[in-house]
Amino acid sequence: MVQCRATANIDTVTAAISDRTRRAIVERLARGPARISDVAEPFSMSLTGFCKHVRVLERAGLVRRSRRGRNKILELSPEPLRDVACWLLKYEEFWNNRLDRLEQFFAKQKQKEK
Amino acid sequence: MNFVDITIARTIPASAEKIFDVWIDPKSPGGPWFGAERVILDPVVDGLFYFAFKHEGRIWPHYGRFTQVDRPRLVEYTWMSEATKGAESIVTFTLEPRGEQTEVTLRHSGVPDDELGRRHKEGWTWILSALADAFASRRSATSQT
Repeated sequence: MVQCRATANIDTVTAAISDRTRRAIVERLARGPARISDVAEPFSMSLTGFCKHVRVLERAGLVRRSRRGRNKILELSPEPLRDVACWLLKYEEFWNNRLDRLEQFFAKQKQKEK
Repeated sequence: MNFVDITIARTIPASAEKIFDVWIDPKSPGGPWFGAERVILDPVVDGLFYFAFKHEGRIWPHYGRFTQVDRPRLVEYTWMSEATKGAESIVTFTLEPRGEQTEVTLRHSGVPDDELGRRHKEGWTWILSALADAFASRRSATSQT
């Protein structure tokens, strides 16, 4: 049985990744956690501007900040996304059962007609 | 499954009209409402339903609103429950004749099949594949330690 925890808000996450810079940040962090300054480096924008993007991703639950000694680290946070469509998994079995029942109902009817 | 919707198809040995009528009949043993603890159903556009379904020892109440009722081609309704966290998901049931049989398709989605919904879907597909790569490589890294 699939356990479902709190799910990410689909609109918040979609809005977060609708921006090219933020997608690039996610792609970078998919390779592993990194210092904020290292992630920011390839982007031609101020650190302040960069951090605004980071905050959007944080609010969407996609990244989290931590500290390693003096370093501020960014990493991907998978839980919200893994669980996002948990409810759909629950219904997959439900709908398969219903369609099986529909099929069997008419298959039996056809048998009777013969 | 792409985590935004599920789509299931079946070929049913009957006409679209007969299948359609079973699908919106709360009492039919072939229909999707059968076996419920309670069903209240008004299968017309803007009609509502209540469907209480017993699963794993408890009752799961469901509420919805019919958005399209186009006999014998299509019926669509919103679908809301604790499992959807109160959000309106969308169930679309379409019927396509195939000679004496009918191909039926059930789609249950978190988003409507319009431009916004399709963009949601693209976004999700992208991010899930990005994360899948990330976590596959992380798992193989930790298993080496």
